[in-house]
Amino acid sequence: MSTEGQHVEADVASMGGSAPHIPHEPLLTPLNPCQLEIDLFCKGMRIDPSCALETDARFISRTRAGLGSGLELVIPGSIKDVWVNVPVEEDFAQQSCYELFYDQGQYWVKDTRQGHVYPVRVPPEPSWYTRSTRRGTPMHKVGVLQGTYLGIYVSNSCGFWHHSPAVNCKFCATGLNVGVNEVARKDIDDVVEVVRAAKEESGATFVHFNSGYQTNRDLDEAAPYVKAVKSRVGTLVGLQMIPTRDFWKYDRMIDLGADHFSFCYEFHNPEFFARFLPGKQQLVGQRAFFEALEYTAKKLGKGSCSGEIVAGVEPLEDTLRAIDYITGIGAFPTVCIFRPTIGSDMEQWPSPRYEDMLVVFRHLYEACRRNNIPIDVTPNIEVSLVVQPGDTRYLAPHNRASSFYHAEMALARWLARPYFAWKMRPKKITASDILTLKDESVRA
Amino acid sequence: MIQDRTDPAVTAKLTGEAEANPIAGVVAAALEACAEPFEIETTGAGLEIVARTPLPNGLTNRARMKVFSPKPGHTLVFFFKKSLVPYSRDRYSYGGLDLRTPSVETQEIAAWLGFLTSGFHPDKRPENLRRAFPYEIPE
Repeated sequence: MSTEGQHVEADVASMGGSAPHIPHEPLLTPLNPCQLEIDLFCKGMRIDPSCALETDARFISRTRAGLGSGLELVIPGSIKDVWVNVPVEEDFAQQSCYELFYDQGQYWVKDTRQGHVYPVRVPPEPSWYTRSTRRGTPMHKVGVLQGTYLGIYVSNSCGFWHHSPAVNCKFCATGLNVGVNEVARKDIDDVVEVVRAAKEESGATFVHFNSGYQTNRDLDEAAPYVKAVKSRVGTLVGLQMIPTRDFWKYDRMIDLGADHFSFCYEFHNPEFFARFLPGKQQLVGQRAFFEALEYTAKKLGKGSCSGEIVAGVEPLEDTLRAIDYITGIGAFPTVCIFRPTIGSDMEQWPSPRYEDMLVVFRHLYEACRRNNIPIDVTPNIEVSLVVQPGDTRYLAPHNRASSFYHAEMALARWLARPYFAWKMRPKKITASDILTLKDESVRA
Repeated sequence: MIQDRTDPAVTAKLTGEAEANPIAGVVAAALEACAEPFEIETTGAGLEIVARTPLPNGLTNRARMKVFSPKPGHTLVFFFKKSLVPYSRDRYSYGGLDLRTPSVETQEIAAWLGFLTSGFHPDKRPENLRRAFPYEIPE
């Protein structure tokens, strides 16, 4: 395992370059890839005019509650390459100590405080982004890569934004993007075509469907997409929807091929949940998130489902408690560093402190290890919007327990290969993708 | 106040927009009377106003407002920020107003300018602001 302070040199060498000389204050310890990822999430980044991102980078999209509003970067590392969606459009990014620049044929991130320079890769735009489906829909309006997985917003209208007064989550900017970035309702053939392109041309192994609040019809809306993708393309499929208490719907989704469920309950502290998530509080309730997560985690097995939370708003101890709860029930924690997203109600809030987030992610690593949660076992799923549990291996203490855990995970990765290869083949699905008829209260 | 008022291109822009759309003329007069600093974009469609009041946290105020008329008797007021990314032409929407009347109250305009000078603080959102604003907005 690499140790702090060795990454800059090691990673520069692995990319065949040498760090450009920049005058700086006396060097302190450079950050390892996960530390740099965390700090970039917290501080954002400025972009030097030397960058030719219009030709080199993926376009910036405000999908996923606005969190996708950053620039996708890959920080190479000896344990793994770390994907990060760096805030570049928010006001706080204007005063960031980090600056992206281009020199000697590649991109670098410079920390202007001490002069540390980190080599990074700017993932190019997939060629299919500029193509249209057979129906004429621009493919990038159907789904976009976020890291290495394909994110598809089934419907970009969230019911919370249509209440009067609006009860949208305070950090969310989804309602501002209606009809701007994405097609409002996706056609199934369009989705299949885009998933196939992402799988064949970008090596995507995982498709994540999510949606805003759909008045307890979230899974009903998603079911035909899941069935179509699993039967006609064959990728791993995840669902991120508002929870339902109709648990039989989860059973049906599993029959249709769903491999993963994630539940964004955002804040563990009930007061913060109520204050910042008025729609989830009034129309769903925090308990519903816990019940659905516990049900699906038990059903699909350890490490297959996730509880998603936001760190940097509620007190730190609540975030740590959330991580303990999620890992304790066998799910993996997806912890998003709060981003005061441009246009959101919380835009004027400060971005979290790096030091606090380091505490969170060290705790996350330990909680995953203690509960033996599989990390980075599924092939090629790198999520750029969050610090993945697998990324936190860079934060692991150098002891026997960590070494054993990493060896176990490496073995699991190897053993799981044939299983995932089988999972990613198209399947004959016999289950019905009609869950309920609209306005029908009984099971179809 | 309009900081770049003496620039001939600004004068020409203000005159042209006021002639084309009476509401743009009223907005220009309100800018002149306001104590806060603003600048005018001389290129592009409509009357585009840039707030120049620094934010309390010391950051540059990026708030902009475009007043334009897609057809006679119909005015759209669009609040937005421009992208910080050098190559990008993206505009980040903070919503807008759809006006179907030939005139507008001065206190309404004062609320728009207050929203601008605050850097789009959520507490300063004008009444009737439509946060989702699905119109084609010219550059």
